[in-house]
This record gives sequence, C-alpha cells and structure tokens, in this order.
Amino acid sequence: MFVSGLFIGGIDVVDRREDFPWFVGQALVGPIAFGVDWVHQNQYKVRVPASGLRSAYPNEYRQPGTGLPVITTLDPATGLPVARLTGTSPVAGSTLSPAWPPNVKSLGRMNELGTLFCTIAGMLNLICIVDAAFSRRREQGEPA
Amino acid sequence: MISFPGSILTIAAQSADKAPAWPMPPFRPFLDPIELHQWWFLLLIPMALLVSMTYKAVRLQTLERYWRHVTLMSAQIIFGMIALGASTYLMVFWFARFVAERAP
Repeated sequence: MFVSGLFIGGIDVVDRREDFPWFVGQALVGPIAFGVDWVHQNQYKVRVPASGLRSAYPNEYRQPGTGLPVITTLDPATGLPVARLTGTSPVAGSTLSPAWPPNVKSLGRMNELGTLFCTIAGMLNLICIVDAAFSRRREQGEPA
Repeated sequence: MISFPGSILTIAAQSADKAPAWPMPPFRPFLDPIELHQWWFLLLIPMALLVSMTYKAVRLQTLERYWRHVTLMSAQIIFGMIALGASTYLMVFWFARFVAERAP
C-alpha cells in the first residue's frame, strides 16, 4: 500500500517538513517511511541558501554534490532544458542536456491520493499493532 | 467546468494558456506523480482492495476463504463510498436547496 502511494503521487507525498501531520501517520509504516523521507529531503530537494530545502521548480536542475538549484534554459534546437553547472567541482562549467528537475512535485488529486495511500498503510500497521497488543482470543467460528 | 469571468481561477487559467509550455520530463515511476487527474476516483478500487487484503490477512483465523472475504469487503467499501457520495450530493444539492428556498 505504501509503495502504491509512492507510485501514485511520486516521492513528494512523503515529506516530513512540508506535510508533517501526514508524515505522523506514514511513520507508522516503519523505517521505510523515514528512509524515503531522508532520500527525498537530501537527494531530491534543492538547497536554497536563504530559505532552506524546497522542491525543484520545473525549470530547475539540482546540482549534484551541492544540491543548489540551477536555472535551466530551453535549447532552441531540441526544445529540451539545458543547465550550465557552476561551483568548484570538476564538472563545473559544463553544460548538461536534458537537465530535468530531480522529481516532479505532485499536485491536486494525485498528491492527495498518494499521501492518503501512504498514510492508510501506516494506519493499517497501527491496527496490526493494536490487534497484537490488545487482542482477545476469538471464539471458533466468530466472524473477523 | 464552471468558469466565473474575472475570478482568480479564470485569470490563472487564461494566463497558463498564454504561457509557453515548459517541457516535462519523461515519466519516472516513484519520482513523478501519475497522470490520472481525470480518473482519480478509480483509485478507490485499488485502495479498497489493498485495505481489505491487509485487514483480512490480520483478522481471519484461517486463509481458506481469504479471497472471498477480501472481495466481499472491497465491494462493501466501494458501494459504501458510492452511497456516501450520493447521499452527500442529495444533502447539498437537493435537501439544503429545498430548505433554503423555504426559509423565511
């Protein structure tokens, strides 16, 4: 169910910083939720010096290593976004095409439903925990 | 879709139509959302099925009639949600209007 939520809404649906109340429910899935959130925060969000981490805009590329956003331009020949890398790394100064954003931020229904799928997965885990902790012995033939 | 001239949504939609289209990356599973905005309600079916599978796997004493129970519970959830949606529609668009028109 958690994997289905990720498939529907993308990695953006697990976000401890932007959607903390939902993440409380998703955290009940277990370490995989924390792992996905860590990957999302540290490998896919761009690092803006003034405001911290945020999802990359459609016209931004995430510079490897620093995580800084690089504004892309459209190559008139191919119509694909091109990024010119900066900084002190060995690849600085080179251009990259196509320079897609690391992930597409999910919006609207897909974001709602992906988040809901992942949170319901956590809630079902909570049912299992409660069932294991406080279960009473069911009589034979009693419906589930 | 109902449009209201001069509303911020209409202005935003018109601006979006005029803006040059920025290319979108090819679909990358688990990174990008799926394009199912028009058919979002169909996701009720896998949601009901997955909830039923998990719940019945925990609650059933034996797995002899597991899929029968899962199918039954999925159908109950789906038809229950359809009934809830229909009753909400009747409440908002029929009953509330009926009461409002007769208010003094």
